[in-house]
Formats: sequence, C-alpha cells, structure tokens
Amino acid sequence: MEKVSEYITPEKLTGYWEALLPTVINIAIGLAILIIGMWFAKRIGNIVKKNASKAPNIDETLANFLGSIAKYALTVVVVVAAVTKMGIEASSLVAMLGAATLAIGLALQGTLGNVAAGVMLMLFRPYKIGDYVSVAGEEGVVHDINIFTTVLTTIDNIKVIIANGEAWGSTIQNFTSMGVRRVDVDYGIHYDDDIDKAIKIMKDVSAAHPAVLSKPDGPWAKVVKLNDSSVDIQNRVWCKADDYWDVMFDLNKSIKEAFDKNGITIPYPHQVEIDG
Amino acid sequence: MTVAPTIMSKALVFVLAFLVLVSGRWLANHIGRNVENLLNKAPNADPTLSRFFASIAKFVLLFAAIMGALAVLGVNTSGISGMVLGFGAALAFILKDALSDVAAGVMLMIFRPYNVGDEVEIAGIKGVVQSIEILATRMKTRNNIEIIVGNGKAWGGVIRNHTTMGKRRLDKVFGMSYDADIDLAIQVLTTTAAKDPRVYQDPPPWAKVVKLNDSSVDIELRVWCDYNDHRAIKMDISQPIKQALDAAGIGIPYPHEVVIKQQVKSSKARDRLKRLAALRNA
Repeated sequence: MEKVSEYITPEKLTGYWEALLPTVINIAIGLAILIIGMWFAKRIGNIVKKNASKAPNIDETLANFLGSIAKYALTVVVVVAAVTKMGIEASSLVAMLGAATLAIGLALQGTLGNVAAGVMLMLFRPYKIGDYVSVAGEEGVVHDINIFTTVLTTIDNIKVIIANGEAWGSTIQNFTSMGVRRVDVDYGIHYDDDIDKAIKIMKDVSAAHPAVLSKPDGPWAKVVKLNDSSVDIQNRVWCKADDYWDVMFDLNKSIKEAFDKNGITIPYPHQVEIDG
Repeated sequence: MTVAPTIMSKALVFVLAFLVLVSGRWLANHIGRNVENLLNKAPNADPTLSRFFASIAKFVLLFAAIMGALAVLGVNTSGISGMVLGFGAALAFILKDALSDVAAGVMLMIFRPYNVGDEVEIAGIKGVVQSIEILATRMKTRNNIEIIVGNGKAWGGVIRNHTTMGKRRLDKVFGMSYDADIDLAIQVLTTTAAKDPRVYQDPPPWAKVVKLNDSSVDIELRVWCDYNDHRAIKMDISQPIKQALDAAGIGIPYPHEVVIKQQVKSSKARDRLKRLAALRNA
C-alpha cells in the first residue's frame, strides 16, 4: 500500500504530467485540426452544392451528391492531418490510400480512356447532335454526346449507348455533315429491252422528283453490269441528306411504274434447261 | 522499485491502444452506416452500390484504427505500411479486370443506361435485365436462358436499349407480285395496320417500295407503337395483312424462275451427257 503511495506523491505526479504534457498538447491540437477541418469541409461541401445547383443541367440531387463527395474527400485529408499531429504514424494510412488510388486507377483505366475519347469527340466534332451517323457499326441519329458515351437512337427508336473509346476508335460514317448525298440504286431490265429507252425513262422519272437536285450533278444512269438474268442499270441522283430514303423509295415505285407503262420489263431469274 | 512504474506505464499504453482500437471500430461502423445512408440518398441510388462503398469505407477505417493502436503500442508501422502498399499494388494488378468490372458497375449504377426489366442488347446478346450487380449484369433471354455479362463489357462497349425510348417503330417487309397495283398494295398495308388499336395514328402507318426484288416488289410497312405492344404487334400483324391482300386480289409471289427449254443437237453439255450414258452402259 505504502509502495503505491510512493508513486502518487505531488512531485511524482507533476513529473508524470510534465512527461505527458507534449502528448496532451499534440492531441489537443489534433482535435482542433479535426474540428476546424470538419467545419471547413462542411462549408466547402455546401459551397460546391450551391454552385453546382446553379449550373443549368445539374439537378438538385446530383448537386447534393457532388457536395457530399467534396465534403468527404476533404474530411479524409483533415483526418490524416489530425492523426499525424496526434503522433500516430500516418504513413501506413497514406500507404493504404496510395494502394487504393492505384487500384482505383487500374479499375477506371477503361473509363478514363472513354473520357479522353469524349474530349477528342468534343474537340474535333466528327458528329454533332442530330446527325445521322454510323459509329462502331451502329447506325442512328446522335441523341447525346457526353463525357463517357455517345447515345444514338436508331430509326426504329432503339437507344444505343456507345462508349466514347469505342466510337473514337472505330470508323465513323457521318451521313449528314456533307449536306447532300447520292442515291445509287441498280435496276435490272430484260436482255431484250431497249437500253437507251430504259435509261431515258430512269433519268426523266428521277428529274421529275421534287427532291432530286441538279447540283453537283443531274440524274445519271448507265449499264453497270450484264447480270445473270438482267441488264443492270444504275441510277444515280443527288439529294439533300434528309431526303435520301424518301428519294430512294419514291424512285423505286415511280421507275417500276414507268417501266410498266413503256413496256420495259424487270425480269425474273432465268434458267436455261438443256434438253438432251 | 524500478519495475513497477514501467509496468504501470506499459499497462497504461496497452489500455490506451485498446481504447484506440475499440473507439476506432465504433467510429468505423458508425461512419460506414452513415456512408450507406448518404449514398442511398444520392441520385440513382442503388442499395448494392451503397453497401459496397460503405464496407470499403468501414474496412479502411478499421485498418486505420488497427494501425493507430499498433502505433500507440510503439510498434514501428512504416514497415507494415510498405508491405501494405506492395500487397495492395500486387492485388490491384491481379484483380485488374475484376476491378474494371467493378468500376464499370459503379458507372452503370450512376448513369443507368439500362434498368432492371429493360430489354437490352449487350455485347451482341439480347435479353431482359434481371439484376445489375457490382461485377456483372444478369439478363434472361425470352426463351429463359440466363446470361451473365461482365459490367466492363457493357460499359466499355455498345449497349442497345429497346425499352427506354418508350415509343418504338415496327418495320416489316411484304413482297408483292410484280403485277399488283403498288398504290393499292400500299393502301391495303397502311389501312390494315391502322385498324389495330395499338398502332399510333400519329405518326400514321407508312409504306413504301424499298426494293424491286427478284420475284417480288418489296414494300416495307412502318408503324409506331408503345414499346410494350411492339412484340405483340409484330406477331399479330401478318395474318390480317395476308387476309386483306387476298381480299384485294394482290398476290404474294413464290420465287419465280423463267425456264428456257432448249433443244440442242450438239453442244458440250449434250456430248458430256452422251459420254456419261455410254460409261454407265459399259
């Protein structure tokens, strides 16, 4: 009993206190850093939230989300700083954060590649919203270009989401950007028909279509192939990119009808049977 | 005499370390829960994702608490931290593909290119999304095959979502006889399609000659409808159109072939036939 009392004499106690004092001060400073830092983190989170919600295309929930991300990122920094000040070796914590960063970096490799491609797409603009394009083998109207993806809607209204890396790394066909397009369609006529007459009919019918342009070239038609059962004449007309399909389909109908009227026939497949 | 104070201070240190550990654990659990709750409030919140991030946060904090306790005990933690860094880096490299699936899963949950129940094509395979998990998306084909696609494939590639636009266009090609009146055929197609109450009147059914084919004039019918009706209309539309075409006297042709019979006295083909017959008889 008296042995214990030897250790709690006033002089001894002050000795302990003096030994502990720097630690206590450090812990106090650490706590101060923690409290002030947390307060700052909260404030900055709020500022981020407020500014984000002012941006036109960020809704309230997303702004809140961004705000809390900022807050927590700062909190991590504050905690590391406070812990270090309290005398706990933070290098292990930092090492873990480093490893985590490496893991996240590797995980986001693909996504970051998409971001880079997205920046390229926004800088070089191979297509813009509203263009009819073929990207990564998918055809459709560009609905949206964002930092990660390009969104198309196909003519039958399927939404196609293409990673920008895929889009920028593939062949992009833009059917709109040149303004005018050429409609090429082959029509097969009978081997016994008058080719000149057929060509004249095709050109006349094409020229009569209101959407067919005379520039850069008027309607053109020539024999492109002597096929198995037909003489194939290709019809080429220029039109505005938007009219492409209408012109093609309308001409199919009117050329067929004009052929019927003028005695030009579109033959069925022929086969010669040799009678031994 | 001199042993007692050291024991006492050692004991104090142990108690302190224990306190750090316990309070650290409490803090880790508490913050983990907070993170989960907070993430659940985020836009496009997903319980799987929230729990995933919460557990990451919890384990990081728990690790920090253990390190803190060790540091209080006076263990030199810099060696451990080096080991952790090396180990973490190695793991990161080993799990690179899985990690990128995880990252893609996070992206899918935030940006939602598809939701559960959507009919999608991912990596060229079509199915209805059953669940979006942290590593993979599960789909089911209409004939009940389960398909599991790594999220990296979906987020890094092409996703076709059939559902999300709501309205869909149905395209179907019908081959008409070359002898038929095209205007009449077009009228039959559009009016028959318009009779289906599920087909939109605006934009109205559309039909045009898409191809002058070998044996038929191919007319494509295009109608707009709700996504939900798309598959049903696709299956229901052929029968009434066949009946309407029959009623209008428009034929749907078989493949045609014009056979030209040729009597030949002598030709390579005929000589060959003769030789073959002689061989057979010999």
